Amino acid sequence: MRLRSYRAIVRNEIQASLAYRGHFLFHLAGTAIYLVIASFLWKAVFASSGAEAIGGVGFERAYLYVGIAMSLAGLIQTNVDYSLNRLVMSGDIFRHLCRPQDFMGQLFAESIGDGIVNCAAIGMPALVLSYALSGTSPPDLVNVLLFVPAVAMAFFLNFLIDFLTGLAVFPFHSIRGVTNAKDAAILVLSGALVPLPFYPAGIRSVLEWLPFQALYNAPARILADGGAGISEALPFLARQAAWAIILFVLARVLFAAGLRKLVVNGG
Amino acid sequence: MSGIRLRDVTKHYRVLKRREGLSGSIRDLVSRDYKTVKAVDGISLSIEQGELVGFIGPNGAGKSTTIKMLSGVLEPTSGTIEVDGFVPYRQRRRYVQRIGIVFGQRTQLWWDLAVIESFKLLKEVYGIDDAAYERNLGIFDEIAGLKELRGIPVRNLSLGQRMLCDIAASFIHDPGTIFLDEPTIGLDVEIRAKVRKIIKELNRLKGATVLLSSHDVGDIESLARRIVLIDKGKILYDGPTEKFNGIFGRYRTLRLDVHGLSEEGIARLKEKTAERAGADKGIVFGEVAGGWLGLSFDQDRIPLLELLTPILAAFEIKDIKVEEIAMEEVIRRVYEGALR
Repeated sequence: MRLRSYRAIVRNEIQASLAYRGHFLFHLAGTAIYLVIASFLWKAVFASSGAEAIGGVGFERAYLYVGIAMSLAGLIQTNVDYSLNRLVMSGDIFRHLCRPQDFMGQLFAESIGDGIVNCAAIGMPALVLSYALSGTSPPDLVNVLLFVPAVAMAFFLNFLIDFLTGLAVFPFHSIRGVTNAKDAAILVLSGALVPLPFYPAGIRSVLEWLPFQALYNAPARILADGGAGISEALPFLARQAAWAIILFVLARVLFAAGLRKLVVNGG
Repeated sequence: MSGIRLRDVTKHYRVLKRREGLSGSIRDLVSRDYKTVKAVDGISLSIEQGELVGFIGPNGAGKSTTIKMLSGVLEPTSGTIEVDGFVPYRQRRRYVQRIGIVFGQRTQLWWDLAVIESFKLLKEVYGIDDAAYERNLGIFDEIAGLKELRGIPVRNLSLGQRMLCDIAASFIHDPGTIFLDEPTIGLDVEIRAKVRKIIKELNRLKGATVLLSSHDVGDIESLARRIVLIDKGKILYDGPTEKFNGIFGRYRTLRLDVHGLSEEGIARLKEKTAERAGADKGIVFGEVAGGWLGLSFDQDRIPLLELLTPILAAFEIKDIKVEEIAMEEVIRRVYEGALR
């Protein structure tokens, strides 16, 4: 495999992303507004409960968790489900298929290009803002070092989940329904909306084994649970890796099957 | 084995038969009725290395489907395809390294970036060495005027400019075989001629096998020495362009502006003309469209002036046009036995 050829895609995608700078401005503004509102919301939640901590979690940690999840959302989004839908329905998939590169590899390289730009333009500033609004001190170096691979894994997993969702275009010719279901599942089951530690213990123990929590809960916990260190982070990373392998194999098998059914539309 | 070989290739699609109207759409939700469309219906073809072959037929004849199968994007329903010893859809990645593809209605260039960025990407994708890359860019600059387009974002190119870039891009990695699917579609006459010239030049310079499809007869006549005519998924003619031209080159379509004529007038014009020329002159009238009446005729059997003069003398014709034979007319005449 020529890695250089995929690097060239990443580079082009970064350049293409930068062609639309207005996009980042508004995306970042939207994220900032969400973060400010969320800080009022969670303050109100804690104020009305009258307790310093809910389920053993105080405001700072709860808000930080939500803020990290929101920052990650801007960073790991690939929209590859929509890309796949568009490529198949318009017939533009031919472009990827007539290149001597792996199809999934091409889409992943394109996603990485977007991801790098989103990380710098949205993820990082949002993360800094989250820390500022939570009033906590910056994270330990150990946690940051563990956070980075967790985010990378979350990115890869989100790509795989989106890719698998996009494959719905082969049987259904439209992914909208499946994408909505996936988005709802992620919102509720991943900890993106409400931190998993607030869920009842029974539900939480199930959710912790699903791939969705690996997107937001795992990296947020690793970074927000200051001082927990390697012993707490490793099980999260291990579960992320296990899901990555399972979903990767599944995606390859299903894509190969879908490709055989492909009808290249138009012209 | 080099060259292109197709044996009894078919491609069938299963297409949903949609019912009409809203109630039909709702019924489609629960019960579905499929029909099989034979896009390609038993094609056998053999093209030698370095040949430039024109692949013509009306819209929906199966040209694009054949080219998609040849590019390894689609798998044939039955039959075998071999290009330069490869089975395209089985060894896709290794195979596409050696071919170039242009689909006239799409672009393989990076939409948001300057043209040159797409070429740089292709350089990495195909692993082209610096010397070959520079040499090819030089050739494109010279014969396609690529130099002026290099810095322009693809989305700001005109259709014609984009097509020149796309064709150049398909030659960048010195492929042994090139498939061009409708490269002149939607282009005006001038750019069309330029595109044809470039294809011819590149074929000559690079010695690549070129299969070029079009629904425009004129495109192929001036480019290819061999023509393959296809309709409804079947090959109707496969042979030298001269022979094809010998038969269809003599046909012309004469269009008459009949705005000034009444229904009866038009009917009388048809009747008189057919009567005067005689049944053996191969005159065929078309429908009146937009105030123009078309009739195709065989120049060898009746010269244009002999046909036209009595019409102009007896009827009020505001304008005339003489065109080359239309694709539909070629197909119709082939079915009537013109090539036999």
